[in-house]
Formats: sequence, structure tokens, C-alpha cells
Amino acid sequence: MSAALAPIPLETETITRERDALQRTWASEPGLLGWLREVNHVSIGKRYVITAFVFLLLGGLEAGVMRLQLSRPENRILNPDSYNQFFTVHGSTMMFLFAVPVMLGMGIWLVPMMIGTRNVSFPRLNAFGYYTYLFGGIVLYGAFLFNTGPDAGWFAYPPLSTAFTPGKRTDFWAQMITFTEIAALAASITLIATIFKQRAPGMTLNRIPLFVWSILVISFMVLFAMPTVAVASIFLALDRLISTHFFNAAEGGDPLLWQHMFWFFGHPEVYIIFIPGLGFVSHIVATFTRRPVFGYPMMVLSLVATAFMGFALWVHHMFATPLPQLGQSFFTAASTVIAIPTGVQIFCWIATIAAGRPRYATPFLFVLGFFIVFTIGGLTGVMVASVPFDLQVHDTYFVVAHFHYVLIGGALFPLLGAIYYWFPKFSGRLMSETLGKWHFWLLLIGVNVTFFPMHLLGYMGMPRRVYTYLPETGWGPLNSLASAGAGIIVVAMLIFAWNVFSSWRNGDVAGPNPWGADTLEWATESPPAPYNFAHIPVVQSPAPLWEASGTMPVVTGMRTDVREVLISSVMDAHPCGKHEHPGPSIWPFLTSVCVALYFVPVIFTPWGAVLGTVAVLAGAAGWGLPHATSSKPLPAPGSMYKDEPLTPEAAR
Amino acid sequence: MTPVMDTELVPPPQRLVSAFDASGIEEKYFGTDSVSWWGTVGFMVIEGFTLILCMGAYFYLRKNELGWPPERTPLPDLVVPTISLATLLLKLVPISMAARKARRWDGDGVRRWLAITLAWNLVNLGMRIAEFGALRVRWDTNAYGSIVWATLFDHAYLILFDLFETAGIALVFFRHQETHRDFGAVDDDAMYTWFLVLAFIPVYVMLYWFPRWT
Repeated sequence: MSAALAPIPLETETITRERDALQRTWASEPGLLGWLREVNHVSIGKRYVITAFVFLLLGGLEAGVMRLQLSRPENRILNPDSYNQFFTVHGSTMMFLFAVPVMLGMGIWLVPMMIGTRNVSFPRLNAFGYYTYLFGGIVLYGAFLFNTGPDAGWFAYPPLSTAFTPGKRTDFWAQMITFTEIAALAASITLIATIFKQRAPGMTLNRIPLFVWSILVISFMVLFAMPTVAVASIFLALDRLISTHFFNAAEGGDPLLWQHMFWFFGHPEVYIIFIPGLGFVSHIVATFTRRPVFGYPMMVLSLVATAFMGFALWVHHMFATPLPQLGQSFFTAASTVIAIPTGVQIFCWIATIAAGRPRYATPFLFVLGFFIVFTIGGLTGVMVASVPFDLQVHDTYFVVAHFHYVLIGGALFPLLGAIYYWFPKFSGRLMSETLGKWHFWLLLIGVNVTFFPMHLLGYMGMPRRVYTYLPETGWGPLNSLASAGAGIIVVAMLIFAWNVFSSWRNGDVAGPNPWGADTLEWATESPPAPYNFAHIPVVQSPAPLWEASGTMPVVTGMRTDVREVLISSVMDAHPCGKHEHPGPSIWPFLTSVCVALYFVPVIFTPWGAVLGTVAVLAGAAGWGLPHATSSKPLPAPGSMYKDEPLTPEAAR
Repeated sequence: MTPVMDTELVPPPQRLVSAFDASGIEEKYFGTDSVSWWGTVGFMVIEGFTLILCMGAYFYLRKNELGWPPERTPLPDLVVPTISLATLLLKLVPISMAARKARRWDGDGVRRWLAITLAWNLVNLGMRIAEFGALRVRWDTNAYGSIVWATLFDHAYLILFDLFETAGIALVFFRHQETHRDFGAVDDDAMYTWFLVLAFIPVYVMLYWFPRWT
């Protein structure tokens, strides 16, 4: 049986030999086929993040074109039809193809390193999730390129999205939703199992890094939020394809059912997006003040409380519908109360900063930007939580300003700070601080110049989703200012793109831990080896790298000839088993293709469901059944490992 | 490039010391120490919640009608669905026996009970197909028809995928040399079957009894 030992120094020769063996076992395969068969979390996580940033670029370009259109009255750059497609695809891209995937992607990339393991629990499911997400994005943009982009808004309210939008535009939107929700669900199950069962020995619940907590919390939120929108979008597609009546009031259906289902997903979605941002902030604050974050238990409880409350607010998106007054009061109260756990976290960070000696490096500047922008968005959130005020500004530019402050402040600023912070781990090189500071200041100015005037435009009565306006409305100057701000954001993001590109090629070599941070990912090489840790660390404190005194306690006795990981108990992270991970496989990719063979044909014919079911079952069969050509190395002679043919003798 | 590394803060290289010997720890194939158990539970949560959503939509749509089912829509049949539920409940016997044999590493026992489970799955699927006729309404007749079809279809997919999963495991046991992990898969399959059978009880009550009470 296993045993805790008095620390025994490892010989350099042993370490080198084991590293070589691990490299052979965990290495990625070369070529396109190797790329498609890849199951390593670092590669899949990077793909998620890079793909999401490509979609951010596309969504940003759409926003830029819309700002050009609105920069002066009676502009004719976009016609009404194109404008409808642009704002729908912009919103759908940012919510479904950028914000959620990038946060889950960061989780997939970082969590195994932070908790001291070698890969996520279900590597193939994880890869399948990525391809499914990618196909969802390709479906949406494929349709958009052929003038079939969805045009009923990112929340696609019926009856606009049913009776008043013939053609296939909304159907493409509905299927894109299903693709991306399946991907998010796959990622969430993978991350929950990884965090519960693969933490390094000693990483008890109160030693889990705050970013990992944030990913655990949103993974649970995804389990309940995403099925809701998936079911709703399937109902919508069925109403359009086979004449069901879920949302058709004439036959006993109810358009408000859609709103309830959509916002039961849609409001938690906001928290799914920005709770990981709070995790980023905690790590950056700790590292750049050189202090553990003040009030760790309160920080964790606040994240959990936010998740629970996040599911009790959805109706505040529906204050303009005929709701019972008691319901309005409840959801107003709930919408106000949720400011408390967020406030607790902000005060904990302020206490940490006040007690430390902050280093104003670029990641930390983005945290300060987060405080400013997110707090403004939070305050206007408390304003729109009030029913009378909400009715006045409903569907005006005030709401547009509010949610852009929340999402840019709560998610984009921490994410960009996180990119600067973890870029050394991503690439092995540091990003330029000079360019980073230019990026930060221009973005902070640009965001405020763009979105602050929208509050005033909302007060002046400018509705959202209008493709143009008359000069007599007086909205021209503030719109011009907002569009100029968008130009500043474009410049800021170009600087960021150049910084990433040039630093990846020529940045200063970072080394394993350039910031002197405290969490386990900084104990790996930069970029990490495919197995992350040659020896699984043993954790003895919440800040293992700060409290280690020249030695790092590790686990020995793990096999190096198969992809073996250590399994630990949920609460105390006590080692209780091992698990051999599967190697590279083409089946996650092929099964994802099969899923596409389901969802794309059903846009056009209900028989697509029959074809799709057969295809998905075929994909699952290929994935699940044993393969004669399995590349799994044979177990070593005398091994304790049990995944080998079971003889009657062994069974006895 | 402006240097940002504060060299005083960068910790010195650390010496690795062995603090825990894991060579004696073995893989676990059953229960919460097996990661596949967590995957199965995750899918059960998702699929269970989709059923709850369908049921929520059913009751939400109920409020739009004076009667339930709405006027000129007949009550659903009770005989076929009740037989369908009974066959589902009976499936728990062979799959539970298969799981019991799996926990004892009894390959022959698993094969025997899996074969019975698989045959019984086909009965379940046949009964489910008959059950759609017992609804006595088309999906495009009205919102009631839409939601009862959707709910039943949602659960039918669970039966279909369970059949497929059981068939896959059975194929391994009959045509390949099973591994320890395959015994764990039988146990997980049994857990999933219990879920899909128990989940159908409230659906059955809602679809076939609730309209009779209102």
C-alpha cells in the first residue's frame, strides 16, 4: 500500500530518466492526423482560447461596422436587413463563440497544471467538445457569409423568430446554439471530474486555487444553464421545422415560455462568463501584491453564492412583460442582493492590495481597469434591477451601455490581464510591458468613450437595434463620440495583437516562474512539457511555491510507460487510486463530424434527425469499441495495473 | 522590451524530494473513485434536467388552456404506457444482476445477465414506439401535443442510447477479452439504467394521470 515517506531527495539521474520516458508516453503526434488525434489538455485548451479570440476578432469587426453605420444620422453603409444580421451575429458570437468558450478554454488549459495533474479526466470528450464548438462557429459564419445570418437578435424572441422570419436564418442560429452547448457541457463534465478527482495529494478543499474554484462553480452552472437553452432552441427549431406549437399562442403555446427558458440560461450565462474573470483577478492580485488573497473562505463562499443567486434573477430581463407584481418585487430584490457577494470579493481584493506592495505590471493594470469598468456596470445593474427604472430604459441604449460595461469590465479586462499574466506559460516568453501599457490605457479610454455616451443616448430615448436615426433626434453627436471610442478600441486591440505576435517570436525568455507566483502551474516548465509534471507535487499549503523552502515534495511510484494519473479523494485530496488515460484518437473528431451530420441536415429536413441519429451512434461505436490497432502500450510485466485481459486465474 | 521580471521575487530552483510513494496504489473501477462514475453522473444530471425542463414547460403551457387536454383532444391511453412502465421497471432486475456479477468479476454471469438486459431493452424500445400512438394526439395538433411528444421523445432517446451502450458493453464481453475496466462499465450502465427508469415515473404520472385529474 502507498505510504507517506520521510522526504527522500530524488537523484538527478532518476529524474532525467523518468522525464525521457514520460516524454515518449505523452508526446503529441506529428502532422495533420496527429493534430486531429490530439487529446492533451494544453493543446486543446490553447485551441479553445485561440479559436475564441478569432471569434472575438470577427465579433469586434461586426461591432466596428455597426459603429460606422451609427456614427452619423441616415448613414447607408448597412441596409436594415444587413444590420439585423450584423447585430444578431455580433451578440451570438460574443456570448456563445467567444465569452463562454474562452473561459472554459482557459480552465481546460490551466486547471490540470494548477491542481498538479497531467491531463483532464476525459481527454477524448474534451477534444470532442472543441471540435463541436468549432463546427458550431463554422455553421454560423458559413450561413452569415451566404447572407443567411440570423437576424432576430441574439435572444431570438418568438414570434419574431418564428412567424416573422421565414427562410433558414433562425434555424442556423438554433443549431449553432446546440453545437456550442454540447461543447460547453462536455467541457464542464470534464472539468468537474478533474477538479474533484485529480487534485495533487494534500490539495484539500481549502487549498484549491481561487481560479480553480471559479471554474468548478461555473462548470456546475453550465450543467443547469446550457440544457435550458438547448431545449429551448430545439423547441424553436421544431416550431419552425415540423410545425409544433410551443411558442404559438394561437394553438395554446406561449412566446413567454421562450423568454423564461432563454433567460433562465441567459442570466446565469453572464455569471458563467465573469466568475472565471474573478478567479483571474484573485491570482493577479495575489502575485502582484505578493500576498495571499485576504479572506479566502469568504471569496469561495461568494463565488458559490453568486452561482446560486445567478439562477434566481432571470425574470429581471422580462420586467416589460406582464408579470405578477409579487414576482417583480422578488426579482428586484434578488437582483439587488447579488451585488453583495461581488462586493465582498472586491473588498477582499482591496484589503489584499492595501496590505501589500503592488507592482504595477500590465496584468495588474488590467485588474485596476476591471475595478473601474465593472463597478460602473454593476452600479447601473442595480439601477435596472428596479422595475420602474427598468421600464423607462428597457430596450434603449442605456441597457446596451450597462451590459457592455459588465461584460467588458467583468470578463474582458480580467481575461486580457490573464493573457499577459499566463502568456509566459503559454509561449515560454514574456509580453512587452511597454506595448501592454499602451494597450491597457487605450482600451480603458476607448471603452469609456464608446459606452459611457450610450447611457445618455438611452436617457434620450434611443432604442437599441435601429439601423439608423434622423438628425432631428439629436443623437448624432453622442453616436459620433461612441464611434470614435470604438476606433480607439480597435487601435488598442491591434497593439495587443502585435504584442502577442512579436512576443511569441522575440519576447524575453520567461523561465518557469517569471512573476514569482505561488500556484503549481508555475512549477512546470514554460511552456509545460506534455505531461506537465515529471513528478506529481504534494501540496502542503495554499501557496505551495511561496512556502516551499528550497525543496518540493513530490509523489513517486507513478508509471511512466502509460498515461497514468493519480486519483484523489474529493474533500481531502488523499490519493485513493490511479487511472490510465486514453491516448490520441481520431474518434473525437469523427464523432463531432457525426454530430454535425445531425444538426446541419435537420436545418432543412426532419429526416436529418434519422440520418443524424445513425451517424452519431456510428461515431459513438467507433469511439467506444475496442480497436485492434490501439496504440496503448502493453502493461509492464508484473504490473499492478489492471486494464489488461482478465484471465480466470486473475479473476479469482 | 521592458524587463518585467523582478529577479528578487523569482524563487530559486527547488530540489525534488519524494514524500509519497504511489507504487502500491491500484486503479479503482467502481463507485466514486472511478472517474467514469463521475462522467456517468454528469450525463445523468444533464439528461435529468432536460426532462425537468420539459415537465416545467408542460405545466407552464397547461395554464393557457381551460381544460387539459385542450378541447377536442382525447385523453391519452393508459394501458400501453402502464405496460411500458412495467417493462422498464422489470429491466432493473437483469441489469442489477449484471452489475452484481461485475462487482464479483464474474464474466460468465455478466454475459448471461447482459444478454437478458439487451433483449429486454428491445422490448422497452418497442413499447416506447407503441406509447407514441397511445398519446392519441399529433405533435402539430396543438401545444399540448407538442409538449407531450417532446417529453416522451426526450426519454425515448435515453432508452435508445442505453440500449446502444448496453449493446456496446455486451459486444466487448462476448467478442473480446474483457478488462477490469469493462466490469466497471457494467456497473456504471446499471446506475444509468436505474436513473432512466426512475426518471420515467414522474414523466408517466404527468403524461397519463395528470390530465385525468384536471
